Amino acid sequence: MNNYEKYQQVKKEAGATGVLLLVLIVFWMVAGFGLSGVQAEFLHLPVWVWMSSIGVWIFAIAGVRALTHFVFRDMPLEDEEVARHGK
Amino acid sequence: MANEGNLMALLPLLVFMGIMVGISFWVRHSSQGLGRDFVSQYFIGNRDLGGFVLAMTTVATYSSVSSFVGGPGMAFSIGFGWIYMAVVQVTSIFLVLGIFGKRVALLSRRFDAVTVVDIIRERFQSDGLAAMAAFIIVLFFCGTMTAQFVGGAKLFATVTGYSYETGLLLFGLVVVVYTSIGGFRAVAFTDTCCALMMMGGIVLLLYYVLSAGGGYTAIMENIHVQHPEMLEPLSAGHMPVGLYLTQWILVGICTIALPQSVVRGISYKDTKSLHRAMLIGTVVVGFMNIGVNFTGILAHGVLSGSPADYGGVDYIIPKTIVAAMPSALVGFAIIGPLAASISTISGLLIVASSAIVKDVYLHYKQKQGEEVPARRLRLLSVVVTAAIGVTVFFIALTPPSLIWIINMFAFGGLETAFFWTLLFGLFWKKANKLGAILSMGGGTLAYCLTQGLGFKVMGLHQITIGITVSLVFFLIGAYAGKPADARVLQVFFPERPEGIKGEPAEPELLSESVYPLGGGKSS
Repeated sequence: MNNYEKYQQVKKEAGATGVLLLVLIVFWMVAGFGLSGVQAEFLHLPVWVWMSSIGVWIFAIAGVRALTHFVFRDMPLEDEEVARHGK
Repeated sequence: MANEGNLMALLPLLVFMGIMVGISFWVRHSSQGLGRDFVSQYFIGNRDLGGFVLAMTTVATYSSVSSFVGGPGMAFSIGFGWIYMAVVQVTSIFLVLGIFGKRVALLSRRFDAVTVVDIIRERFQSDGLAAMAAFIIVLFFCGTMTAQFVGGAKLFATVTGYSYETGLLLFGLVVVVYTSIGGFRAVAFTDTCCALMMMGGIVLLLYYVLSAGGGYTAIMENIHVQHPEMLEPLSAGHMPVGLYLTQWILVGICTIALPQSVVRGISYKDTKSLHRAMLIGTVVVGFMNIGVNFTGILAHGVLSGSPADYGGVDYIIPKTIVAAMPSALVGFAIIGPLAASISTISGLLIVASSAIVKDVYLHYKQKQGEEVPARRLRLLSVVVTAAIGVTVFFIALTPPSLIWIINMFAFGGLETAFFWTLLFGLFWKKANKLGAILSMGGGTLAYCLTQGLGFKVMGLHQITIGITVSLVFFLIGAYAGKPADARVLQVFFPERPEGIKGEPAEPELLSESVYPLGGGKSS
């Protein structure tokens, strides 16, 4: 990977991270406010409580897993084009 | 000092603190051979952290004593809406590492950068901006550190029965000692221990709160009858929608710009570690936030009054610990919140020290063309770190009201100062020096002023004003000011290499990239 390719990849990863944030915000809204009208309870707590706490958490973990698996790529961090300049 | 303390409560804490200091001596000893580049060693741990430690140190620095004491106290009075709000923090780790992690790691190796300010200086080619950034970091960090000291010491006094000063001496000085001696590497390893203790502490407390409260079902039935509003997201008006919005900005999205988090992007070994850290960090930060706030709600099974009966929300968790835990275990329960406090202090302390030693002193010496002898640098780094720590320690003994104001400004102030400067600086070519200076200076000032005066727009937290003003100022500066130097842009935003290997590059393309901006723009 040259520096150009690395930067393109890093930009893509940052963008995808931003997309995950947006998706997560939508999920968070639906899980909490969206389900708050549902009367059903699970283990003595309304459905929205579960979905908006542990649900959001698990969703975030799954999202990060997908991100690092499908979008993020391993790359050498050292600059290969320019020798590290001294002091 | 106080004489009515619970000695049993002290013992586990003493052992824990002993281990922390032991780690720092071990780190110092084991890194003797790596003394070639002391600054990089001391302030960033030689860019050698693995995924697990990276995740733990990022989470531990981010999670403060207030997430462990004030937060669950609020959950106690508001209910599940508070957890719904706190859970937005699951984004904080993957956002900062995913957006800035690799960018900062690559650039720091290129420039031999050790601090976030180094990178800002290289990008915007401005010593004034770098000095302002260093000043903002030191000022706000000192405010935050004091608050951490005070919060930890208060908790200590409430739970153990020893005095506030004893607590401060016991854990406060220990943090300063181990951070000064071991530097960043010690901070990372002790943070990892702290994060594990925090999680263990939550599980322990959860277990005893459940059993003291008569079990999960009993506590929940009590909440259904006594506090039905706790089961609604808006908690019968106690939890306004605006608060949800500003929390997303304040403790979610904008936390990516906190220098103490971003600097961790410089510190890891390889990209595998970063990817692992994003996942582990998200798991851990979610577990802590949900676990600790859920415990706060369950405390209704232990404490039957309202927060005011116990001296305010800050006393809910300490009183719960005392009421629910067997006294032999109180010492273990208190380690969790104190670990949250010291891991934040250590993380801030080392960055504040780097701002003074690296960003101000060393930079000045380099400009003068003076070589600083390694021995002096070694001594100076330790002394500066210790000096900042001790100063904050003394401020925490009798905190002046000014320090509370600085602390109140700190979180949002740092975000306002660094959010656009880092985001635009690292991902937008048009970002320039004037924009960054206006954004950091103007935004921070607007934020502090409006917060100081209590001025709000639509009842929203002033972070919304700060972040908007700094955005507008940045854009004005970017379009009105001179574009950044083409030479700088070339390094920060590499062009597609011209020509195919072996063939001569096309002359037009080659000369184009030398001209300032415009021509250098990539498609």
